[in-house]
Amino acid sequence: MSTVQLSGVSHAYGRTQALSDVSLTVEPGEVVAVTGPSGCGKSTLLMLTAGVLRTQSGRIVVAGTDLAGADDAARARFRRRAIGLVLQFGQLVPDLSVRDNVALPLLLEGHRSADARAAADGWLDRVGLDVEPDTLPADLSGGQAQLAAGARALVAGPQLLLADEPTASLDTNSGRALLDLLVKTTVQAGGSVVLVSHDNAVAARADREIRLRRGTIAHQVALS
Amino acid sequence: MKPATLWLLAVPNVRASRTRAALVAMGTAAAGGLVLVTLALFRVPAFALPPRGSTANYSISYDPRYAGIVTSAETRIGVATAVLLVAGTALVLAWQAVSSGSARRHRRDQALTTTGATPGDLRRLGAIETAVAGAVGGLLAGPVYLLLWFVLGPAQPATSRLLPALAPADLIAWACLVPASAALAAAAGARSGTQLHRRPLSGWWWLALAIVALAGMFTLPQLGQGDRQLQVTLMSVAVTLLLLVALACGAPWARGKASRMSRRGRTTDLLAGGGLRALAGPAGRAAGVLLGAGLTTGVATVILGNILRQATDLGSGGHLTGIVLAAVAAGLAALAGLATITLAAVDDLLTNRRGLAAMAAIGADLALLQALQRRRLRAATIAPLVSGLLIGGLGYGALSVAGEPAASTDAWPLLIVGPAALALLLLANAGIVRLLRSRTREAIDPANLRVA
Repeated sequence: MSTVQLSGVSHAYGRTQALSDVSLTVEPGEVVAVTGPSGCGKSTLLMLTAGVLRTQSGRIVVAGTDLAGADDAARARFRRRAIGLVLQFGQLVPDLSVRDNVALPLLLEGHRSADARAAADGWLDRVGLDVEPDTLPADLSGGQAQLAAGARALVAGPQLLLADEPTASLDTNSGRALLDLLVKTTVQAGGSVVLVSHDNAVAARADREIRLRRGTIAHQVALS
Repeated sequence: MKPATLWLLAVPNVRASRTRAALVAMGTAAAGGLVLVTLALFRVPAFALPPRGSTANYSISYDPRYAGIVTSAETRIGVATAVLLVAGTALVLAWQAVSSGSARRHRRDQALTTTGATPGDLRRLGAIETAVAGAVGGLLAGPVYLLLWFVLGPAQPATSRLLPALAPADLIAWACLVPASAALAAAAGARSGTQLHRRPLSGWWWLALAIVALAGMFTLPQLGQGDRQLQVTLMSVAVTLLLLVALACGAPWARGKASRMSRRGRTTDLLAGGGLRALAGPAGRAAGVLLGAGLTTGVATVILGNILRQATDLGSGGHLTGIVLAAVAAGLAALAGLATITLAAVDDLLTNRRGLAAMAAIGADLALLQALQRRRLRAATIAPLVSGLLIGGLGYGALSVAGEPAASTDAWPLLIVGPAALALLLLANAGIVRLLRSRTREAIDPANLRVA
C-alpha cells in the first residue's frame, strides 16, 4: 500500500487557487522532492498531506488514514502518530526549551516526560546541535533552530517525513548532514520522505522529482 | 527626533494600538474615580471612639445622614484604604494595557533604532503614546466619580450614605487629577519603551520579603494597642504593604511555579509551565490582585461570622454596608486580576501565533491548547485566592482575639464563602478560556506558519 495517495486534490485560499486537481502517490521507502517557483503550491501540498490543512476537494490517504473525512482532532492525532514535520524557519514553540520542543511529539502522544526528554537529548546529539538543552528558541540561530526542528521531526519515528525547505538556514555541510540524517533514518525504518525545496542539492537527494507550476504537476522525473 | 515625528509615530493607527489606548484610559478613569471617592470620604464629619479601657465620659455626636463606617474616624481609614486598593487594581490593569503589544512595539523600536532613533527618542515616544490615554482617563474620572457618588450617596437610604454632597473641592481634585494621570501614564509608557537590563533578585530574597510583609501585617497592628484609630491605620499600612510586596513578588513566584510545573511528569503541566513562564509578569500581577481579593473576602467573612454570632442587627452601624462594600471591592479586584491575565493571554495569542500554529501542526488540537490555557490560569489564580482567604480570615480572627482577649471569633462562614469563591473563580477561568476560543483558533491557523 502506498504511503501517500492524493487523487484529484484542489485547494483554494479565498479566490486564489493554490492547487488544481493534483494526483500523486509516494511508496514506502521512497524519497520525493517537490520543486517549483514561489507560490506554485508546494507548501500547500505539504500541509494538505500532513493534515494541517483541511481537505477541500479530492481524496488524501496517508499511512492508511483517509484525511478527507477526518475532523480537526482526528487529524491532530494522525499527525502525532504518523507524521514528522520539518517546517520552514524551524517554527519552534518559543515558550519551551529546545529539549522540550524536540520532546513535544512524544509528550503530546502521552509518553512520560522523563522518557520523552531522554529521547530528545539523544536526537539533539544525533543532529549535532551543541547547545544547552534548556536553551530557549529565542537564543538559537536560524540554523540551530532548523537542526532542532529536524530532531523534533524524527523523535517519534514517523511513517512519513515531510520537510519544507529543511536546509534553508544551514551552511552546506550542516545542511547535507541534516538531510542525510532525515532521509536515512526515515527510509531505514520503512518510512517515506517528501521534501519541498528550491535547492537543487536537496532535490538531488530524492528518488523522484515532482515539479509544480501554478498549482498543477508540470512533470515528474525519476532521479536515481 | 522632532515633536511632529514623535506625534506621527505615537498616533494609534492600528487596531491593537487603539485598543491599548482605550484600555489605559479605562483603567486610569476607574482608578481616578476611586481616588476622588477616597478624597471625598475625608470630607464626611467623623468622630473618634475613646481609647480601649478608658473610663472617662465621652459624648459622641455624629452626623445621622452617614453610615457608621464613615463617621467613625478609625473605620473610615479602613474604608479609604480598601477603596484605594481597588483603585490600585485598576492601575494594575492599566499597567498591563501599557505593556500589551510589547513584541510589536519592540520590533518597531528596533526598526527605529537602526534608522537612527536614540534611546531617549524611544522613551519619549513611549511616554507620548500613553500620556494622551492617561489624560483622557483623568478626564473620564470625573464622570466615573459622579456615578460612584450617586451610587454611594443619594442612592443610599438617608441614614447610611457614604459620601458627602458635591462640593468645589471635588472639582479642584478632578482638575489636579487630569495632569497627574497623564504624567503617571507617561512615566509608565516611557518605562515600557526602555530596554531594562536589571539583574533579577533571587527567589530567596522575594521569599524573605514576603515573610517580612506577612509578619508586619500581624505585628504592626499590635503596636497600636489601646488606640483604635492608630491600630486601624497601622493595619491599613500593613495590608497595603503586604499587597505591594505581593504584587512585586508575583512575577518571581509565577516563574518559580512555572519551573516546578515544567519539572513534573504530566505533559499538561510541562507544556502549561512553558506558557506560564512566558506570562510570568501579568500572571504575577493577577496573582497579587487575587491575593488582595482573597484577603478582603476573608476579613469580611469573619466579620460577618462575628455579627451573626452576636445576633447584631446587620443594618445597624453600617455593618451590612461595610460587608457589601467589601464583597463588591473583592469582586471588582478579582475581576481586574482576571482581566489582567486575560489581556496578557490575548496579547500572547497575537504575538505567539507562529509557535501555537507550529504546536498544532505537530499534533496539538484545539482542545489540548484550551486545556493548557485552563491549567495556566488555574496555576496563577487558585493558590493566591485561597492564601488570601486563609490569611485574611484566620489572620483577622486571630488579631481580633489578641486585641480583645474576652472576645472570640467565628471563622465558620469561611467554610461556605471559601468554596463558593473558589467555584466562582473556576467558573471565571472556564469563561476566559471560552472567550479566548476564537482567538486561539485564529492563532493555530496554518497560515501563521508562513511567517519567518
